[in-house]
Amino acid sequence: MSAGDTLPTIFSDRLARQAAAELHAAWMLVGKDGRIVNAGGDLEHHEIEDARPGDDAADALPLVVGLDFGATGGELPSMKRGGGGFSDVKVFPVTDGAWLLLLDSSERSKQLRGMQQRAHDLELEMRRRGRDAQEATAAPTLTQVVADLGAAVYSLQPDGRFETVGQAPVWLDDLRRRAPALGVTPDAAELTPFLEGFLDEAREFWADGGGADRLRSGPWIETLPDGVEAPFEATALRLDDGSARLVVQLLGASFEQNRDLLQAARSTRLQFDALLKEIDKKELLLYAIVHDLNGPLSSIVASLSLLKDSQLDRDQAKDLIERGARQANKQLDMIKQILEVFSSDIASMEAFESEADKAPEAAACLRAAVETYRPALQDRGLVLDLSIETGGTAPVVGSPDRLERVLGNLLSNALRHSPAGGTVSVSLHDEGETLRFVVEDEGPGVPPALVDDLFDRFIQGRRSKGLAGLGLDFCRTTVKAWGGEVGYEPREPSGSRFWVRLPKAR
Amino acid sequence: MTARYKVCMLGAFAVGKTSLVRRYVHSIFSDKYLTTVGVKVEKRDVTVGGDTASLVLWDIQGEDDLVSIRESYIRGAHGVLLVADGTRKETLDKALELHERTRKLVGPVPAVILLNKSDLTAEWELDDDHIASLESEGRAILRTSAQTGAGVGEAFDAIARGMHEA
Ligand SMILES: Nc1nc2c(ncn2[C@@H]2O[C@H](COP(=O)(O)OP(=O)(O)O)[C@@H](O)[C@H]2O)c(=O)[nH]1
Ligand SMILES: [Mg+2]
Repeated sequence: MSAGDTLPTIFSDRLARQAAAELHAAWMLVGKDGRIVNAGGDLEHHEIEDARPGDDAADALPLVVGLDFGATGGELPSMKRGGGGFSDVKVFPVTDGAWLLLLDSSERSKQLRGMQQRAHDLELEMRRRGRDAQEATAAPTLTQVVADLGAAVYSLQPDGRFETVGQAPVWLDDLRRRAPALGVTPDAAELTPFLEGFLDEAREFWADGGGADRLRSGPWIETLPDGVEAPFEATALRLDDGSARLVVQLLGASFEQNRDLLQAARSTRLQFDALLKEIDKKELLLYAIVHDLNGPLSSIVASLSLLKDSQLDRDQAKDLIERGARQANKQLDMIKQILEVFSSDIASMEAFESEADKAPEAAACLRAAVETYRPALQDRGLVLDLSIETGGTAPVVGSPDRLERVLGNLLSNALRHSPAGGTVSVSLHDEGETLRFVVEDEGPGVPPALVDDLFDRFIQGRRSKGLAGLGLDFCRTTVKAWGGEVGYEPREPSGSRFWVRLPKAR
Repeated sequence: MTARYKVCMLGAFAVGKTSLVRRYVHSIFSDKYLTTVGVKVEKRDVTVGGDTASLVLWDIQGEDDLVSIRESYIRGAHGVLLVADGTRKETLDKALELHERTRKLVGPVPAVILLNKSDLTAEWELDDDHIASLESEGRAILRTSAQTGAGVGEAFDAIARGMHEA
């Protein structure tokens, strides 16, 4: 307590103001006669701004009436104020018959409250020991009040060492267990790494003389021995008389409020950005689909406008009508595909057969798909090589329509990418627990850059596959829903191999 | 005496700086996003080139238009890990900008760029060509995932090696 008495009042006042602003803390010293000796801090927050030395304390703060906590003091948490807020009031007996009341804002989080409670208990314990030891008679100084508000104050000695000013706050004890030297000489090696860095800067600040009167470290977080994370801030102060002080503070409610606000703002920002991206991707896909649908439609319109021409003979007209009909069918197919893809998320939850007697027969489905595409393959002059390696019936998990559609997608893919006169090989293999369908072509293969997201409906970046992507996406979602897999690999020397693996039904 | 190296974790908010440190120092990961305010300092010992060194990791709050990084947190750094979120490509620009700023403050200390969240391949936004061109400018770039732990040990080893050899 002796060191504290040397603290210049001007400094302690400033410090008290600073601490009070952070914590909304206020204090009141009440004499034996029930009159206010002195009061300070954020009195307004606790609605006792009218308290004056000499006033009857009970007028300002009715709770002091009949106050008696014996020799150890005590706590009155969550005292409701007239204005509706709450104050935590701590009562410390000081010199005989006098009380020190500390009023604290009640809005801080539970975690800090727990810490404070523990700190408070320890503080009382230390106080009692201190009193027993030296029969203190002096009234508490402002320095001590500052310490009670949660700040540790050090003064820089001429030899470069730090000395504690006043009584150290109790959280310091926790910190000190991590950094044993902190209580006495914070320049010793075992400082917390953060403070160590800040002190280097602070020494420069103190040495350089002119300019600002303080240097703040910015907040930092320490994990106390019981796992609680607590925020601190250090301030290097230059006093009016040129001497140096280091203040280490446990940050309070305003810090937490700030963090919560920042947290909310950032989470919202993240969600907003993610949503924008999703919209962006869908727009690209939509654009690509519209583009693809536009192709056949232009051909139909062209055929129709040629038909209007009365010079056409019967065969020419028939030819145009057939061409238009082919394009119309192509477009119908595309639309069907689009509808299938967008309903496949729902459809994947629909029932499918896994019991052998009702499940689709693999070879039959493959044959049906091949028959659908045979005319188109012949049109293009492609050779079809079909090989079925399953003996007898091979029921497979799935539904026949959709399985035919999946295989049809792979065939149409092969058809589109085959060079004229090439061979499309289609095969079915028995792998024991599973069956594998394979469709191979002799086209150029998939460019390596596209392989990774070949089966994705949406792809990232400024490009979209449109319908071409939809077909493969449909294959993947459908087959996955049945517990199977799809895959692609390049062929040597060139060409694509797409495969579908499905579990056998049993 | 064991060497002590101060390493600053720098990057935009929510890229995974805190998660990388937690994964590396405490071997834990959480999905929950709790923004860091100020700075948290953690330590872990490593072996580099046969010597033991102590990495003092400064997990500094992310920067955005609400908060900017205090220069005093960065002073005295021996190395920096610049963290970007591979699923948000703007965070790589932020990491590069912070690299410039740290260079002005602490000089050309070893730096490694971490493209974090590599587990989220479907949402990955960074273009391989762009990364390759950054690498060809001589930048060290690694892919990490604080979630799976992939590349995390390698990342801290890389910066430790860089500082040890510096
Ligand atoms: N999937 C995934 N999520 C991550 C990874 N790293 C961090 N996150 C998540 O990203 C969010 C932000 O992480 P955080 O470490 O707080 O970021 P900081 O602001 O840079 O410290 C949290 O929700 C983390 O769970 C990662 O490698 N993979
Ligand atoms: Mg963080």
